[in-house]
Amino acid sequence: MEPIGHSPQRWMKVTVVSLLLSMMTISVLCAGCLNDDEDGVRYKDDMGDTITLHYEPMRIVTLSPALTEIVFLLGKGDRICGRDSACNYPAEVEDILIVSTWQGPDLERLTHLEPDLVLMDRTLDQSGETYNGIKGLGIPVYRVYPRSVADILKNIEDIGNLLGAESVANKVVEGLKSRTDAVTEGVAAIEASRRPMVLHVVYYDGTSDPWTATGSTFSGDLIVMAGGSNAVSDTGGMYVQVPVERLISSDPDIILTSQSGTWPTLSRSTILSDPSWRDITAVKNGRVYDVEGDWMDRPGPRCIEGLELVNELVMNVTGGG
Amino acid sequence: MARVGRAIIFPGLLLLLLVSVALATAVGPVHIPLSNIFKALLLPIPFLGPLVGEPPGWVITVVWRLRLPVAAMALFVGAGLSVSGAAMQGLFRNPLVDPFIIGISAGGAFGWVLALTLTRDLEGVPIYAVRALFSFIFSLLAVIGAYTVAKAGGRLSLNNLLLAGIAVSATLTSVTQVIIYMFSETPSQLIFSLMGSCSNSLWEEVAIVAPVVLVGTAVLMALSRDINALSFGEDDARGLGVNVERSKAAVLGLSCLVSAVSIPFCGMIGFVGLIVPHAARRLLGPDNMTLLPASALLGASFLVLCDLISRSALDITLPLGMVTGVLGGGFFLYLLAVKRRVPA
Repeated sequence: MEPIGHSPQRWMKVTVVSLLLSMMTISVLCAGCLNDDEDGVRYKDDMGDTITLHYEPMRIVTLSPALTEIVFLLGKGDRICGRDSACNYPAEVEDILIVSTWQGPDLERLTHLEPDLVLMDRTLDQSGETYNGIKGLGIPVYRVYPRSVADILKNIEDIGNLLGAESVANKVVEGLKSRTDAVTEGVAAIEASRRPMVLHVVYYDGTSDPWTATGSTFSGDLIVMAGGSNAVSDTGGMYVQVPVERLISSDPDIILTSQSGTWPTLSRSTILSDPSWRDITAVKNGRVYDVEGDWMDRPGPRCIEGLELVNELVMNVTGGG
Repeated sequence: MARVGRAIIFPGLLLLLLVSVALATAVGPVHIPLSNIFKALLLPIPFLGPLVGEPPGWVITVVWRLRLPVAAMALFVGAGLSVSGAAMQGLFRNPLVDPFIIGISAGGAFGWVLALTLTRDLEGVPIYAVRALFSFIFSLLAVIGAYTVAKAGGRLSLNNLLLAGIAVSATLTSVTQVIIYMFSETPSQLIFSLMGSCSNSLWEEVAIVAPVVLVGTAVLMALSRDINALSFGEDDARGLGVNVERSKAAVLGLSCLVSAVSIPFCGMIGFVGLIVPHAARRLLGPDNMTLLPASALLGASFLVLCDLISRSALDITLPLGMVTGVLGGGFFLYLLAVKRRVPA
């Protein structure tokens, strides 16, 4: 470029340069913060979308409790700068700024944190509005979509790759995999006809029919994997209310009631004190158990604890454990 | 009201709108110093932008990608709902009518939830467009359904249309609830979306809503003489030379269009279309020539401010429909109380 002299064209040049500058600023705005160079590393997320990272993410926002748990498990919890309000494990999450609630993230607070990676679960964003909102701001966003225990293990490996924690991820997944393998081996030995029927009550307070988890939910899957058969597997919907008389006729052998420190329920004591439940096998045999809701309903690494617990309860019924 | 008083009403309303938009740009959940807001606003302007300097990148994003498009969306949606409410209250000669009562919102919600359920595992811009279109089409279908029932005798009975609209709304709302209950993994989120919100609005969406609202308002203003005539009763209007059936259909169709266009993007924002026209009528009287633009300006400011409150009042985002309901309801009660003391 020529040195700027005192020629009459000088102001022309200044004008052109400032015009170009503002256009560049606008186009950078439009294109987002991340340029799509060749040098970045590309990753494909669960939805098949590609994100390109130019360096290891240091400022991460996790928009679901399960993802927060995974990042902490991989030893990168100190890089989380923003989280969802439902995150409650491990205890360190208390100190992390909340940028989203069940309504979705506050994009303004999220932008303010200047994250270099947002991790989110497609399950919590059915309309895709959140994903598009964040992506539109030029922030790299990676989505998981776990439907089974196997998917969760894959999520851990994938996020390990994203965060430069491959070896930790491999070790963690190996450990978890050996535990699920132990469960499935034991389950394979039980004849299909001898598998106990398990009912998962998410919420029941006696004022209306109990809310149950059907076979289409994550915990419904977990129950089958643990060797049980789901008492409401043939019901449509995800979490639905089922009339008590239907539950009496399906006569479950085990009843699991979700319990949680953040949202305590009286489901178990309600069931035990309600005379209409008295003749159900599970109640007669004292097999109504409070289980940690975060192990059963949250697609995070601790679902393995839930799997082992349900498996143990199933084995007690079949006499195999 | 005195002539001088009236003369300052329109500049006053414009000023109110300007202040509302300025506030909505300056205030939000994250505190940003005013100097940075100005820098971000001036940035795209040649000369001035580079002169005042560049704010941090995230401020530019917050101002240009989050606050301004949301304020613009609230402005046009508020204007559209209010104009539509004013025109329909005149047409129906009923102060309780708002654009949602004859099925627009229930139809829009039904269409959106239905499309979302059918395309649950699909993604991409065309899919979002399909969902928005579904929502819009079902808004209009609901009204057309009610209209067809009400027109059974050949002439449109506005009372029957009101009743049919309420029945259509109730039915569609229940069916929507069944769909959410049966098929949604995250029902609370869907229900929240339906409660109405301008947040996460994109400029592209504003570009769809704005022209519909602007053109619709202009055409309704052109029809304001007919609406005035119709508000005296159909026979009187006919006596004044108004083609009653055609005018009713035109005003109804335009009102529906102007309010239905917001539903795919913002859900059901209740109460705006009901109360803003009443407030405007208190200021300017019932002449639709001035009432319609005044309602548009007042409704625009009202929704921009309500959206600001929903985003910034608490640590969490309050559903916009809740804020308009609480503020609007209180204000409406106040208007009624004042009206009783000073007969208009």
